[in-house]
Amino acid sequence: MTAVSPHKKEPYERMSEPMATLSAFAAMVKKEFIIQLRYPVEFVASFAQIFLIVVVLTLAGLMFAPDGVQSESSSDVTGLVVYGFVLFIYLSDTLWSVGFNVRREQKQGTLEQLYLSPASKFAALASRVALTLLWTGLLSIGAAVLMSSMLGELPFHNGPLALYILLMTLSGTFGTGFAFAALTLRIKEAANTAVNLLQFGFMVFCAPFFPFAALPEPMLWIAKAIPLSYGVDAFRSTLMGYPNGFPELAPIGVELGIVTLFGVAMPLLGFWLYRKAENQARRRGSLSEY
Amino acid sequence: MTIPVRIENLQKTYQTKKRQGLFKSSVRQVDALKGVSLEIERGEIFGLLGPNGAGKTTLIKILTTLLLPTNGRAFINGFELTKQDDAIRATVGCMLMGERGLYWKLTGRENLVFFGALYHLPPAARARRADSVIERLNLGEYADRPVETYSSGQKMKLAFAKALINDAPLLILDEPTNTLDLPSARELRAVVRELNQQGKTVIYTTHIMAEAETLCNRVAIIDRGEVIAQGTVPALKESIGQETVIKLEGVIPTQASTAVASLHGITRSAITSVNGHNQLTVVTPNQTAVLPQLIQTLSGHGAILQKITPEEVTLEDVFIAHTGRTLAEDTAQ
Repeated sequence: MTAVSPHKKEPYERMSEPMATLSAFAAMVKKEFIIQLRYPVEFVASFAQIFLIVVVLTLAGLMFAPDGVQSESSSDVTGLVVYGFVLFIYLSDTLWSVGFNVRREQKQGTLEQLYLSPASKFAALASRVALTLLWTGLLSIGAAVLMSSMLGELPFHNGPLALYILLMTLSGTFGTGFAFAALTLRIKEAANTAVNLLQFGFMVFCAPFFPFAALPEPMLWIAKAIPLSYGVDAFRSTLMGYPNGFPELAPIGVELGIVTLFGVAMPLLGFWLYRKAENQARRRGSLSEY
Repeated sequence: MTIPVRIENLQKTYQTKKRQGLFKSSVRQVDALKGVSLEIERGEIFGLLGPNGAGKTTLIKILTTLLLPTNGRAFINGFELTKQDDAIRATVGCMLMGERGLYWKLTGRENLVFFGALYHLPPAARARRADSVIERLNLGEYADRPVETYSSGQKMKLAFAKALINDAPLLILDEPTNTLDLPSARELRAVVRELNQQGKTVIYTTHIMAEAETLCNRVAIIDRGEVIAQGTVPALKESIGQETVIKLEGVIPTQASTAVASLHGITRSAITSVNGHNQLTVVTPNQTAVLPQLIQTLSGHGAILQKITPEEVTLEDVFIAHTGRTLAEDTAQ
């Protein structure tokens, strides 16, 4: 049987790969941006909210600086809190935004429309995080400036290595986000409950706001079993210049290995899980269930 | 030349879970499609008719790659379903779910340009194509307003415009005139006819038999997951043989319509409610012989008849002849 070639017979030309995927990706990001701008109150409030959280955390962080804000130990505390917070908002947004966006499209009925088109599903998932990462980047810079103005100068060492750790951790988290999106397709609204549970789990076991030393021994073992913990530890330890006792979970070489493996393997695993959930939804007819 | 749609023994079984307490659940199987086979020729407007829940949308969703079949094969524009899904998606324009498939915070034009990008149109071509579709469907007046401000009919027209954005050789339209007023529905059907004259193949699902009669070259009637009849409209009407139809209106109690069903010389009968009256449709090979007997039986069971009309066979009558039910009755259920 001869296949019809849409490229030859139609008056409207088509882009070929990889431009087609990149262009679809850009269109999806633009669409998200326009929609965000049309909820101006929510848009502004989400920025303001982050800065208020920063102030609360900074003031709480001051309690751990016994010698005042200008001492050396306070600089470590500042670094711990600031970098932990930056990583937390990055990871948190990356982790949940994919699944939440998939669910939102499913509820409003547009998810099926995306599946009617030949656009790349990977690009569709990635576009949901791209804008979030951009805003989070801007917020992180703003938050870092605000916190250092309140707590004093931030320790800043090994910028390129810290950037590598950030990117690998984000990549791994992105993959975990795919897996969460797969779960969202399966359990729908119950995913919100799962998010609440996991978010607090992340805040406790990955210790973004306090040192791992604060965790009791059994909880520390759980923390050590989560790859994300090594990302948090390696990122802030590297930026702080490895002060005494840091990194806390393993030597930096081991942590880098774990973070790299997490960053490479998790997106593949997450996307594989998502495609499995997607096929199951296509079998059950639940892509448009809301 | 490639046949646009070839379907071989397509089956779809859903498994639905029913909760029984906190931990127990029972699984029920629902056969939504029971071995559907069809061929749709290039340049046809092919109607899929049937009451709600007959399996039309399930079939459409399978053909548009949204659902995976349980068994069977299908080829769309020469590409095999489940093996070449992206190629199928690129060559099909779909209108499913009506207004729910749009981004309500975007304007109509922004929606069209966005979907153009998903079909891999270059940026300039997206804008040109959106302009051309907006002009063709007279959407210009509101194309630059957010969709959330549209009326239901305007949203449906935009959903139809979206199906045209990729200029695909095959259009699949699932109940496209739902929620449209009569002039808008007529206008939409005129556009479908025009697109068909330009060479596009169209699959058109509806539960309105009159719509199918006026628009479609061929139709398949689907009921409870099976194609119960297919062919051109005249052929389908002839398929119920030399039979004729009598429509009786008035106050017709259930026992009267039940008694009619068992009369000698009546092939099928079905009752429905029209404008507060009952309408009994009777299919019979011998109108003259049956009519006196029919009136006597109905009157004997308390029916008050107001109008008796021998009528030309319609697709609705074909449906009744095959199923013993009216389409309106099934759709309402």
